[in-house]
Amino acid sequence: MKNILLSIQNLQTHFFLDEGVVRAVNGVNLEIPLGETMSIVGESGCGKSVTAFSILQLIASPGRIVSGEIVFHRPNSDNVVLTNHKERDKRIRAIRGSEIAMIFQEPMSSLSPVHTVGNQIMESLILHTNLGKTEARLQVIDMMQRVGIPNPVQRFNQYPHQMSGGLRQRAIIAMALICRPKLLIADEPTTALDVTIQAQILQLMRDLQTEFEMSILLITHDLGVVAEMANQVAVMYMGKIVEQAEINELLTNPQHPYTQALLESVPRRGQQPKAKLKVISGSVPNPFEQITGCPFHPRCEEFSDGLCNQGDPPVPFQFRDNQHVACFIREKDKTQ
Amino acid sequence: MFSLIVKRILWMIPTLLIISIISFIIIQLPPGDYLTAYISALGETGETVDAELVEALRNRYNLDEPIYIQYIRWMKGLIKGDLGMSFEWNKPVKELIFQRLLLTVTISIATLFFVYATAIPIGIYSAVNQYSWGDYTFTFLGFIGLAIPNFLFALILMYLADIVFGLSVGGLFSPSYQNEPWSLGKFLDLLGHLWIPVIVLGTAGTASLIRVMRGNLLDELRKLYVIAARAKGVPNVNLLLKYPVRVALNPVISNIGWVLPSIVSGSVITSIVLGIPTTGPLLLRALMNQDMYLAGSMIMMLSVLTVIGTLISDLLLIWLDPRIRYETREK
Ligand SMILES: Nc1ncnc2c1ncn2[C@@H]1O[C@H](COP(=O)(O)OP(=O)(O)O)[C@@H](O)[C@H]1O
Ligand SMILES: [Mg+2]
Repeated sequence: MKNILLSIQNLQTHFFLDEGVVRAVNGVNLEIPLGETMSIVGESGCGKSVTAFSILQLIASPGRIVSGEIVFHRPNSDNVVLTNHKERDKRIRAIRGSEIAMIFQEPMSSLSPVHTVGNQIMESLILHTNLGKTEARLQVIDMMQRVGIPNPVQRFNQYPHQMSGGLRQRAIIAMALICRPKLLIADEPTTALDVTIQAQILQLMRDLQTEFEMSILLITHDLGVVAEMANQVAVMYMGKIVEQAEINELLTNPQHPYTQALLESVPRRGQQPKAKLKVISGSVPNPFEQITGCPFHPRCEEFSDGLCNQGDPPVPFQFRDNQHVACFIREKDKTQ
Repeated sequence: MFSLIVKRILWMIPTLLIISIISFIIIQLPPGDYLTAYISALGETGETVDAELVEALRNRYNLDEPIYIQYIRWMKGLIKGDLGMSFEWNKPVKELIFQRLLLTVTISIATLFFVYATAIPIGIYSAVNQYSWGDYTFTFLGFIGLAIPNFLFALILMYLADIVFGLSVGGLFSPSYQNEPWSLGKFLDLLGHLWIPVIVLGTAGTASLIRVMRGNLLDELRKLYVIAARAKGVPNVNLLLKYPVRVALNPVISNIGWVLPSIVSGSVITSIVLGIPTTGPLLLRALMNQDMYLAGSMIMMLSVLTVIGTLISDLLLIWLDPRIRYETREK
């Protein structure tokens, strides 16, 4: 049994809008192992970011964590039930940025335009440690160097708009890692970057992960990134995890029809350059909708009437040693 | 950054030049001049005017010269600090307006402080507590403040001050201090009177700045860098002041450029209603009598004030916003 750093049980985060309730996260179960990378993939709008925000209790009105429990199993220390704390609680604030850090999708807008980069990286350090300004500054410059920002002493006093997108994302990584967190939540960390820089940033994250012995929750819609980074993958669809498996298992032997469709929709190494990519039929349903039976059944190629569109949504069952699938058809095949 | 400031200051020269030309044209626009206005005023009361005297005056003030010569003459004087003579008062303009200009500046600056000191905190409160009762109340009061004309507001406040608080209203000093030299007592007396014009003049500006501040802050609060700061564990109030408020302030500061002129021009009517000897009432009178040099100089001085106000807001902005500071340097 692996050591678990963070466990999410039956998380439900809903947004209460005038038009109706968006069940952005609707019963997610997930365990993030110590020192490994867990990845969440899925089409845009399936609830990946909301899951991440829920961990740090950053969901603001009209959204609310309706039920579920998120437990942070701190190594060498007591467990914290994150969901027991409100957005503004001191306890959760002390964890944010120091033990669990987060980086966001857009390197352009996750830095304040009117403060220097150095100031923004240093902020967590000043907040969470007793270091004086001079000492903190040295550590920041050190970290900036570590994440590959050239001339860190000069860059310390620069503003975000004076840096390129790649450098800014490095600065954001430095900002997240400055307190050496145990868990890094990276929400589409490379989506806004071009391919070469994307590869560099991913490499950097892998290096730092080993160095700092941290777990990463990597959120992305890009299976290429997943293949490069993750140990474990959870595939999310309409607020639920439909398949979770060890990375190689998932890439070579996907079980859920949605996972299969996702994999067929991206080009693969060794594939004919002109081979047709598959497009998942239909589109992501309207977020207010509640679908009876399996949420994927309206778009599923293997849809079986009477089985898939009845009753409660399927619960994940163990398909193989390290692979769980939530699919009526697979479950039926397996038990027969 | 230094060259940016110098450039900004040099730009004031053509601006002021254009303002001076426009104000001169406006003053000359009504048919006739001070003397024709004077003669017709005398005519109405049945007196006759000595034609020779009129001719002498006309020559003395060069009223028959073409407009552009008169303009150049006026400008030459201005540069030397000579604002010309007032026809009506037969005194140098400088003497007439100095005290009043000082009062105008005092009231304008006090109003500006009032506007910013109330609008910014209320704007922040309304944005942070969007759609709360407090937010709705301020919105409602703000619309009333925008809708009431200043003269009416002045009358209402005077009435309230007189009836409810028993204060002597009108003017800026109580009768007992009116002709006294400056002292602490006189200063406090001034403060006791100043609040009425300040509130009257400042309310509309406050109301619209609250909207600006609230709107900006709401936009900023949704930005990712605010969430990113929260994810770093920054406590709420520090976070609010350090990040979104700081960014949302920029457009509010740049609004000094239009708040100041609206205060200065708004003060004309308000001062007349409240009986305060600012430049306002004098200007109105000078314009009606075509007292050319007096009116022209006052318009000019008020424009200089506004231009300086705008300059200050621009400099503040350069200081506040690194994007402006560096963008111009890199160009
Ligand atoms: N602040 C919010 N208010 C209303 N709905 C939201 C909010 N944030 C997210 N949602 C909804 O929750 C769903 C999941 O969003 P998200 O987790 O951001 O998707 P993604 O998987 O692309 O990260 C979407 O339908 C989105 O519209
Ligand atoms: Mg997202």
